[in-house]
Amino acid sequence: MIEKIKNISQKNKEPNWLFNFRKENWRLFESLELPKDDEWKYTDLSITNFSHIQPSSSLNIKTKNCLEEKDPNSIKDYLFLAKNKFEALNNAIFSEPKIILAKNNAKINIEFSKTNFTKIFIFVEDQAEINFSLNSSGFNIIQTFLIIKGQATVNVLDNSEKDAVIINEFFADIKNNAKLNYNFGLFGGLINRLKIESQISLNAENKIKGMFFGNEKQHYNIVTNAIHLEEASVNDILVKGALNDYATSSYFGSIVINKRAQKADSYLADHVLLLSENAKANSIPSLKIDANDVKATHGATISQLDEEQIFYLLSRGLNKKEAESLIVQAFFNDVKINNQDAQKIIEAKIS
Amino acid sequence: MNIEINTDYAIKYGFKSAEDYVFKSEKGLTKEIVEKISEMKQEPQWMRDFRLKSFEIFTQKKMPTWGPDLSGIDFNSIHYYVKPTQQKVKSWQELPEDILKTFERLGIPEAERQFLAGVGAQYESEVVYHNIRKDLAKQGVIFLDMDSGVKEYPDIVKKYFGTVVPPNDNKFAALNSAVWSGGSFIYVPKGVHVKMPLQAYFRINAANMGQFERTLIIADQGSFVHYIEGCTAPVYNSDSLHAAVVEIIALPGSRVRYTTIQNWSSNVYNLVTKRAFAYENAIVEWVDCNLGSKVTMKYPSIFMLGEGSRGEILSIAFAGKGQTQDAGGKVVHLASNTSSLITSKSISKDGGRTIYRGLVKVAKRAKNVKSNVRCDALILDEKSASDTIPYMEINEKATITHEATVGKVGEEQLFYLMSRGLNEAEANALIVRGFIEPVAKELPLEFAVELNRLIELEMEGSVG
Repeated sequence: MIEKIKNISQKNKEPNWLFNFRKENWRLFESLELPKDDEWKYTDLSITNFSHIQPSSSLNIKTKNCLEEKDPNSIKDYLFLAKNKFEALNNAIFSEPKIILAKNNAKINIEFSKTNFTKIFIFVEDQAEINFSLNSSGFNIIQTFLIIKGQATVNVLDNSEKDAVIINEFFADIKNNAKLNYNFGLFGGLINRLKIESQISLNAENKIKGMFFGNEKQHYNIVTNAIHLEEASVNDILVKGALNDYATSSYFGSIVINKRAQKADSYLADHVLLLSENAKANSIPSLKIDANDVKATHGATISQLDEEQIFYLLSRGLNKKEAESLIVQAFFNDVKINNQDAQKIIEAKIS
Repeated sequence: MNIEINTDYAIKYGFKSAEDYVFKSEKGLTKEIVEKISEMKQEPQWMRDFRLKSFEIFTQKKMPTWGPDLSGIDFNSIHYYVKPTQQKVKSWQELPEDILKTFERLGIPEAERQFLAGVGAQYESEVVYHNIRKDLAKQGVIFLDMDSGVKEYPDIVKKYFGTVVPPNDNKFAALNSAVWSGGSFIYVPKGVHVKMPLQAYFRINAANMGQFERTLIIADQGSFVHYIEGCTAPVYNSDSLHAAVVEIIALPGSRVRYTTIQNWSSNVYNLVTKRAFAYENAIVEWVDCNLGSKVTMKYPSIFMLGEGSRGEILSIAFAGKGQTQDAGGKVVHLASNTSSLITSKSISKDGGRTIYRGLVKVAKRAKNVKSNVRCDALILDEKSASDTIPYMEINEKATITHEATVGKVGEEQLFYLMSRGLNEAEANALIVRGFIEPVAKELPLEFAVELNRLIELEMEGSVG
């Protein structure tokens, strides 16, 4: 594999430090076990198979009002030594990094298909709308770094193939007074991980709304880490999921408030509906608070469809399937992505 | 006015009596010491084997890799067994004078005269005093120290001992299983309601002492019992270890309430495993008030094994200077139509850290489970901190809710109280009392008063 890594590096005309970074991470990948910490403890990784791993990427980027940067030195600050086996793998074999400077109400659409090992860096100067659409298959690790000085809206829609393993991680550096508005809808994949780690600076705001729907044997692994770095930072997270058949989910949501982040205001809620007797949901909403003048609240529920609501709808002439579908739709009402494709997928999945 | 908390603790609880013991084991733990403890207690072979097997497990088990820093524990500098008197007595006057004085100062005999149905007092490793009201004894209620339980009721003890908390559960449960001494053994026969609480009092006096009491409570069908324990230790420079194990078996239709008010001095590592099995329609309630200690790790748990059983955990944790209170609760729903409620109130001050760590688990095929968790934390100054780490593992359709908030004392509340003539410290103390009220009101009156007084003590001199 070292040969292949060398090829990528040479093809991209990478500086020596980057090639060394790749090599070091490859060694780390080979020495590390699969992760077992709280983010991963409820995710069965036994099906992951690294023997067919090939460096690859099949993404299609369309941009408006953006500049593409080629110099990898501009992202040096965002390349850290990996903390787990998957990060190490991607650090070693990611294809040419995509570095995008977004200015003047930029718009970026990124579509993924097949398998991907990629790193994307987006510097948002003022306002930007960024859309991710995943229709992948096989094994994927996608890491996106968002450096936000203005206001970024991110929409992630994942409708990957049934066999896909997706590890999709976002790291948002939300600078002073900046704002991230993040929406996601996850529907595809066999193992589908979405991690959003936000560092929230002075007066900055992190807002995440998302949904996932699982059936058959799908597993979702969702992580949100909201880290309040500075004063008066704001965080608001709402995640909703529904699980049918044998689907399972693991949600790890943490709020961390540093000593300096007085007057922080942080909220996190996750709600899961279990639609089948064989579905399973795990949730760890955690708080780590080192400042005293803060507001930090989380709420979590795991519940089932309300029999009385179903009964009411049946009495109005709906059949059971229609009634259930209607209630699930209503459950997702406040987290739905405002997008026609998403609406179609939701309807197809639920009915 | 500024009052140091620890000096106050020293006056009320921190006094130490001369160390004049019948037997005190060497520092450190060996197989020989385990055998010696068993021999001195004249135990049956099965218990001796149980201890030795547990010692084996203890040496193999690793320290927990999560949670607070336990690196201050030096297993080799602890006295594992200290026997203060030749035998336990049934009246206070017979106690050796220094021990008598100790408990008089702590107010135990008064408590007994006033409202307790039975009381046991443990000094170092051994229970030194034990008494139960005659009418209860007539009804067949057994309230003994655990050592006497092993001797007098071997069949019951053998059937249940170590079944709820097996020695290989964790390193400290293994340690306790190897060197346990004292604690209470309670059996309440079918249908008997023990109207007044049974109480035990645990006191560490010697320095570098490990206290490892072991309590086993069996509530037979349809019975009720409320057990209260209190704990203190003097203030030494070197650390002591308290690693207790409590096992509760609530048989069908019974109800057991277990109340703890611990107020260890700030040099005690308090690492306790408490677990209950609740059978059909049984109710188990843990009321757990954690003040004092250097590090507390304690997560009372309830395994709901029978249909219709119910569990409730009420917890208060107060972490002051240099203290970590890692507390919480675990409920495991293994049967249908079971419900649970966890309420946790934590307060941190002067650089203390409180941690709520909890688990709600619903097993496959446990239908119609309801669980509600509510944890609130108050952080009283900018040096202090609070964490909340709840785990939810739901393997069946169920109704599970969890809520947590962390914040400081409301400025408006403070302003209001100060405008009514209270100073800032008084106002703060009042707000904290209101904050813990949902748990405090579940305590018997005397204990609620005691808890409020302790909180007031901790709150003195606090501003902001």
